Amino acid sequence: MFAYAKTLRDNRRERTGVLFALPVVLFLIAFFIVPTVLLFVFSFWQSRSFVLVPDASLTNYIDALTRPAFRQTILTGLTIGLGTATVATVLSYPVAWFIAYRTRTNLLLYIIMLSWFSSYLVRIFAWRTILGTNGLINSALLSLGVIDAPLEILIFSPLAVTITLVHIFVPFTLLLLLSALRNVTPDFLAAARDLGASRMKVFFRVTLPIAYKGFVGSFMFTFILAAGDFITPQLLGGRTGITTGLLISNQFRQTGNWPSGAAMAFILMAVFLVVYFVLVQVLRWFRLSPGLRFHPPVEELRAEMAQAKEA
Amino acid sequence: MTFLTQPVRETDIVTMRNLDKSFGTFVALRDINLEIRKGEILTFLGPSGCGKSTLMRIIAGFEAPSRGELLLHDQDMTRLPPERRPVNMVFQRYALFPHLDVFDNIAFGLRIRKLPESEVRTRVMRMMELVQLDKMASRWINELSGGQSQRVALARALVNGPEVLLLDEPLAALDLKIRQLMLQELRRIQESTGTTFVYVTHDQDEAMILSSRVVLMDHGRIEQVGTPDELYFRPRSLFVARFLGEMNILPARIVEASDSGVVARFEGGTARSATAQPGYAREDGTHIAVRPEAIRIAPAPENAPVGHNACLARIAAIEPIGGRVVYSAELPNGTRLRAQRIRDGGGADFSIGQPVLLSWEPNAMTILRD
Amino acid sequence: MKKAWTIDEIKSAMGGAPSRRQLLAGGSAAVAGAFMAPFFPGMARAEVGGRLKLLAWESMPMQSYLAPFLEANGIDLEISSIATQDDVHVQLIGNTPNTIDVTSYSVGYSDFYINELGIVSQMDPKQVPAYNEDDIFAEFYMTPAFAQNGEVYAVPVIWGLNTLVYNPALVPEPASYTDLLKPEYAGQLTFIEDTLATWPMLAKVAGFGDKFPHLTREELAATFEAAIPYRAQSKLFAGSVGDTINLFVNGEIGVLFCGWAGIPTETGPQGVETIAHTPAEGGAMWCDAWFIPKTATNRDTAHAFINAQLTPEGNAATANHHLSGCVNRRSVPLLNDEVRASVDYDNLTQVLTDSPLVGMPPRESDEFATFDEWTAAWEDFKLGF
Repeated sequence: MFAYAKTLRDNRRERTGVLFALPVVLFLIAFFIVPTVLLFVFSFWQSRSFVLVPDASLTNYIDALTRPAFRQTILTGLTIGLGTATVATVLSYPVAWFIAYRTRTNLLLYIIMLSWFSSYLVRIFAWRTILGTNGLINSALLSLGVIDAPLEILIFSPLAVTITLVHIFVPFTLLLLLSALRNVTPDFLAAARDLGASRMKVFFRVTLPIAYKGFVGSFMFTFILAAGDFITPQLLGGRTGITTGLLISNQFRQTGNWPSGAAMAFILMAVFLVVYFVLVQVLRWFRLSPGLRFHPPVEELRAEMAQAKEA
Repeated sequence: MTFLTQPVRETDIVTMRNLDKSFGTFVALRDINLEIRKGEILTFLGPSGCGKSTLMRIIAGFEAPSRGELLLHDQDMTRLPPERRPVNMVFQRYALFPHLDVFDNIAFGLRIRKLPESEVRTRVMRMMELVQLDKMASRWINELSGGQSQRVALARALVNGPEVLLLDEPLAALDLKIRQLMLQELRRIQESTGTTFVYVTHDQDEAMILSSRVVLMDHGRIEQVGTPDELYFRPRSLFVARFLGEMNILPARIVEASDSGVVARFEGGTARSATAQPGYAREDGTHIAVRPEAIRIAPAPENAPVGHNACLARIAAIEPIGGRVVYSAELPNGTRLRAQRIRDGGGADFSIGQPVLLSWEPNAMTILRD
Repeated sequence: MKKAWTIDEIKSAMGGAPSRRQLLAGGSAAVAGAFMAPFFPGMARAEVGGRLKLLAWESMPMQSYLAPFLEANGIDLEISSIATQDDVHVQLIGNTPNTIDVTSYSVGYSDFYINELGIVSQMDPKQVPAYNEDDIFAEFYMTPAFAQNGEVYAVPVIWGLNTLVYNPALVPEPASYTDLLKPEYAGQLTFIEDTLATWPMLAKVAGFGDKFPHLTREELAATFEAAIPYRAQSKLFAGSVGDTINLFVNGEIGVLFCGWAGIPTETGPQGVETIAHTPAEGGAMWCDAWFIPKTATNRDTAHAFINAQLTPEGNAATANHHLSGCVNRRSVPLLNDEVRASVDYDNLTQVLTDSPLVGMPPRESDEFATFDEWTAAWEDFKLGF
């Protein structure tokens, strides 16, 4: 710490950098870290008639975890979140690839980003119109004679929520993937092919590891937002698409039981962390992360060589 | 189906026949016919835009020719994708994978081919010793200097034992001193492994020092193929003559042509060839090409007779350059000839304005067609 | 939300440095108020005026129908919107509650606000002369929801019915709630996220209607057990009134279990006819009452403001705007035709007996199921448990 303070005193560049970063850091500390810590403390307390009672215990956590409805919402959230993240990332990749390697302008990117300009709620209702029982898709399929009765699964289901959320998040994932792909220059791809890699191998052994942060970032970003969203599930999820966010919101608004809501929120956060951890480990396991070594240390290698020469 | 109009020689690894390449309306390569011989260092040399990089990319497989064929030994390789060719490339900016360390970068190609790990280790370590990087196996790419990166790139390509190794201006990003060292290194490594090198550069010195043969290109065409000496001393076109080093060019006209040689007249004198020059006839326009170092300067004697391969001139400028000095001597019609001499200890032998006699050996001169 | 003005800003707005009294009373407007006093009973005081901090539902743009009153008294209305009832008490509890002059509660919350949270102040009946026995309907005058121990705590202004609403083009009219279990209603039913509308009806359908909101825990469980077949007839739960209207218009639902009886006035203009219908089991009533929190500072203006909505003209204007029922019998002739038709005023007593005003389950109780327990049961019910 003191060494750093000294660096700050001597090094003007470092000082300027810290000064630029300081406002945002302070903002985050004041309006994010502190409230989060407070909520964490609250989660162990109780509440009576909207008033906090500092009786510390684990009841909130235990009650939530033993409640079947809560566990179900977590599962639903996981399904919707993982589904949305996967589909959005997979759909964006070809587009990002095309923009990065095949075109000169960003026109396609701008067109896709245009959809961001519409409001979140408007889009949800628009999807209702498209997916609804009497909506665009069902009407079209009915009049074409492809189906006899409207497809029920299209609306008020986890599928409807996923479709809508994918639509909302594709601009995010596209932007993140595109910016990550810019680091994978055509030179790298050419070098990999030159060394014998087929197109699939080029993707898994070169593109993915180098653009790792973009892939993981866009996946997790989408997953967390989709799994925690409760507005879209409430309007499009029907009876089977309700997520934990709604339960948490009810605790904060209707029953005024902040401790219970906070406990649920932290359980949800723990679930997200587990998902992240699993994702990173899976990628590591399949050797898709950067920064891995696939050989023994130098000393061992040189010893091997020396032995082989003597033999 | 390919029809072999001529049989491929056993020593030819890669043969290019009637290769054309266009990008839209821009013609990058025109009528390329060339063979690459086993064990040689073949250099594509030429100014920017001459097509040398495009030709290299066609050999590597990153471009397909618009017309013509590319053979590996006697197999048609024209449409083969790069990952299936026994050809590896050292990229100009190295393209070392940032997510792998030095060892794994070098091992990349071997692991793609699923070689057993023990063999991978042996081959990679041997290659690292060859390029003198054996202590750097665990370093990350961003920790390497320019010269070290270049050697890793070389090792990564070479470890796969390719039939042909392509090097795309590999020394362009290095400092002068390192460049000279690396040139020697490259020579040593090539001799040690016996791999056929195909080298692309715009730097004449690299080409002359390194190559077994040089392919000089201009505007998509091959101007001349030959050993460095052949290109330097026996250029076959004005372009080649002018491109390499310095050259004095005198426009001339044939006045005599016979079985023993030709005589050409230029403004200021005549030139007589040492050997027969088939294909030249009287009244043909030509250019006479003589290297500055081949021109002798002597003080002009009063009323001296001037024979063939000589002319009178006046010293117009003197350029001392370290261990040599270049004299610009002006002929009566204003044309300047440059003559180069070794300097042995200070002092110019001639002074500005001094009349001198310039002369050269007939076999140091090339008579070029127009 | 209006930004709170500093003293300097007020000064510059008034073009000078007026006396302190003028500052507080809103300057010349107060004087004008004195002239206008005869037209608005109860307006004679010069203390009326200035900034009035209000918490109101989003659908209550006061300015439109109260404009003359506000202007005449120089009242500067500072409205903060609320979306749920919780938004109100959240601001008034705790160690540092906000200053709010006037706000409302949905009458189910009266006990909770008055007795448990203790955030409601007693009103001065003399300052609200429009709230009198002659003019106000008996069901709304000094009943326990508004007055306790002879003290007035809140004053009802508008009310309405929550009933079953159905689309005759998609489903037949149900004579009783049990009809909803028939096959022709499969997949057509929805419940709304308005607990004040839904819970009493669920209790009624389970047979505990008279006891609501005081059900034992066993009765609570039985209520939701009985509701399961109804849930099987539904494919979603609507999030709000607006959502319900949208669902009706899109043809996604055919019948709403219980909700705002004014829904047909919204679906009609969008091309879909719906009908608010009270089956054999009856309906439920909602009522919004204004109160003055203990943290209020501008109490005189608050009283005047409330009174303005209770006069025959004022209450009629309010009811017309909200498409709701009125509480002042002298307002009935002044109602618009469609607003007048929405309530059977000739048989008001019967209407209000069929669909009585009910409260909310208690916050804490040993004997009865609490509000939190109802919420949890309702959540579990929605999630399929």
